[in-house]
Amino acid sequence: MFLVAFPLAAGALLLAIKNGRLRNVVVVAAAVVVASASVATAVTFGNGEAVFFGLPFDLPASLTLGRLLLVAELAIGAFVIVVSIQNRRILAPLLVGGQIAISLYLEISGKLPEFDLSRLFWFDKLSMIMVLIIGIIGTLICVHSLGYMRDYHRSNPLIKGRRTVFFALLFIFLSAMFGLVTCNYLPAMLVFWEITTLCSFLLIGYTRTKETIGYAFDALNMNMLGGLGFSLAILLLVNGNQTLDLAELTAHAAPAVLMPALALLCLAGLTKSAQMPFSSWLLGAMYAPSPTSALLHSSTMVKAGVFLLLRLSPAIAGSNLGTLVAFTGMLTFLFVSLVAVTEQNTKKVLAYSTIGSLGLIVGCAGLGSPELIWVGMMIIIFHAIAKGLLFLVVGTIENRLYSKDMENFDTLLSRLPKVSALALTGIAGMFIAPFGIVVAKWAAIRAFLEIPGWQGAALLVIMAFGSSLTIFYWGKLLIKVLSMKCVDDAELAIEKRVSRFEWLAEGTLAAGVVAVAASLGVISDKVVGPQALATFAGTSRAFLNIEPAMLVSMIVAVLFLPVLAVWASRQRNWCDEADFYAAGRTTSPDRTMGAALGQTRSVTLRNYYLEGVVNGALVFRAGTVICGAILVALIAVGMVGR
Amino acid sequence: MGRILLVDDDPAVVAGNVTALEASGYTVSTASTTSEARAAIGRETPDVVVLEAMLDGATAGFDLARSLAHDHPTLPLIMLSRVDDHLTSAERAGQDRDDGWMPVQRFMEKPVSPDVLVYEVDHLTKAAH
Repeated sequence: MFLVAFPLAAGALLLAIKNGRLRNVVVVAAAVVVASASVATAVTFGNGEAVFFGLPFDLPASLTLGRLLLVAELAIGAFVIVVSIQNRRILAPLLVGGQIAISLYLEISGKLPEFDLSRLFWFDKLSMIMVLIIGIIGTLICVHSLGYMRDYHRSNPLIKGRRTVFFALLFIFLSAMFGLVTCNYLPAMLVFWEITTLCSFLLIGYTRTKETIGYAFDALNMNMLGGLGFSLAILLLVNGNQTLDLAELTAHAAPAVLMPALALLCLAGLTKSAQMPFSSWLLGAMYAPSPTSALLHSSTMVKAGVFLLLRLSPAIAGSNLGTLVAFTGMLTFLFVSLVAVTEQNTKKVLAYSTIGSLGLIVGCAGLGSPELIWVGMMIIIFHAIAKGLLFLVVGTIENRLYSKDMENFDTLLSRLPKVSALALTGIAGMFIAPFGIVVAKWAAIRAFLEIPGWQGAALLVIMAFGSSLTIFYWGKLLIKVLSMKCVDDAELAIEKRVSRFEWLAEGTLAAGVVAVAASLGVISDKVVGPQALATFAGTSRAFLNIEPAMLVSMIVAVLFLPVLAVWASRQRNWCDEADFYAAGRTTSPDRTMGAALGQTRSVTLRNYYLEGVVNGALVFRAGTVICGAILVALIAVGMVGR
Repeated sequence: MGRILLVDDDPAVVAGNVTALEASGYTVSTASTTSEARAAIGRETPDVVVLEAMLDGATAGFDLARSLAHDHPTLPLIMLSRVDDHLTSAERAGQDRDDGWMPVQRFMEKPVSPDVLVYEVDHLTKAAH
């Protein structure tokens, strides 16, 4: 409860602070308090079984929980409608209007069943993982923003800064996320859900250019559609005299009567986690300032979608609904991995990779078994820390080199050696053992093998092809960062301009990547394993037998590239190396060459983006159509109740 | 394509950027002092002006940017500079403002890769048309 209230208060306080220095102090202090509180909560409640608890104070008689939530929803709705009218948008007010109508109907008709307030919050090890991610990674990103936003506004002087609002939104968002991941009462969860949507909308539209406002509304519409699905699910549950208690709802495989509501909740989860056909909003969201991308669109908010799906997993596993959800996730993973190979904008590559990782988790949640839940949670942890770090590093690079284009990251190791080392740690955290992709994929492949029939085989093939594509795009980024050249003092001075807030946040996250790798066995045995077994009531077993020698070699593998990078950047003999040599008949001094058949070509040295082989936009559209069809089937199957 | 005016007193920087911009199809003219820059703009208004903050031995580039923004409100300006090395920390803190400290579209500390400059110029000329 403190975790929800305190960031909210900090957010309100930040709204009032106009002075830059004072803001720095308040943000850092609030970050420290929130991070410590989240660790304390995890230590206190995260040791044993799941716990349920209510509000620490009694609500006054006139103010029921239902009314409180209704007021919050009306406020959100009113805000959305006002903003939409200002920008002449029609879809968002309709969607939010639908939600309000449902909530008003439920409140006025008095159909909302009494809810046992002592079960308002639900804290188990999945909540604990999320609370730690939000509390530690989230606050580090807030601290990082202090440096990032200062440089951002200096480089773009004509963009009107609204940093009071920016930092207030970050903290309000943290508050809503804490509420979302600990909440057990569906209507309350919906309110937190919609607050995160709203924060995302406002942060994407931060610069208030026509372009970013368009992307902000894309995100708002798609997330509001999910929110409407969420509301409808609540309506169906109430009308069917079913429980609104999330823990009760998902305790067993669901009977047919619950399927329509569950299908709508899955829809909400899929929109939030930007699975196809809803992926486009997350790409538009990359126009938000980079710390926003790290916080909302990679480490936390999009994880709310997969969090909900993991929660629903025991209820939908084994049903047709679950299988369709799983295929949506896995096909999204395959398609976006292919599109990512053709992308040159580094932030978009990270976005595609995020959608892909979320797709894997969705796949695991849809199929549902202790092993797959284990995989899903492992990817959540690995991905949150490594991808959060990568987004922050790309933000730092962007402010120093004024570019997000991968091709401009050439010889980064020579120009920004320390930043490169951090970037390499992040990349290692994405695809070198023991991270996400390796341990989790290995476990997922093992679990897929146990699925009988064609489905297991199909998922295995998707996994194999999708994974090989991820190696392709990470490799390209890696080689750009790892290349070197002779640098002069002016270029070396660039790195000195990185602010200490950014060093602090990125350094801590990089250390976190290594720490997570080192404590892999502990995380598996003490946290993720028991949770996976509790979710599916499986027989006790160890998911991961890790030997010390293996662990050490993994840590060495993670540290290898960053250490190599630091060593290599200290070598100053690159100036003696010759420039590259191209064979052929030179036709002009500026690197043009006579090619075969009398053509003249200019010499370029760049990565291969499969130009002429794969049309990224086309693949993206194909994926959207196919997954859209699956989604229609998914809703249909849900409505039929099978 | 568009016409670009490069205002800088460092011949090495000018040479590199002229090559890159011309390779992308722009017509580039150059000036090395504020008076040359004003004269060039008086002859023919360019589509984008790229200027250094430190000209004529002082921070005259800032004044040039302000007066250009005043006289030609629609003319996009990019400031490439090495001014940071010469500012005190108090002066830098004074630039940390939400209301826009300089009337230029982009402010970039040197060294800036010519490719990045071309990208920014492309972006601004496209936005203008």
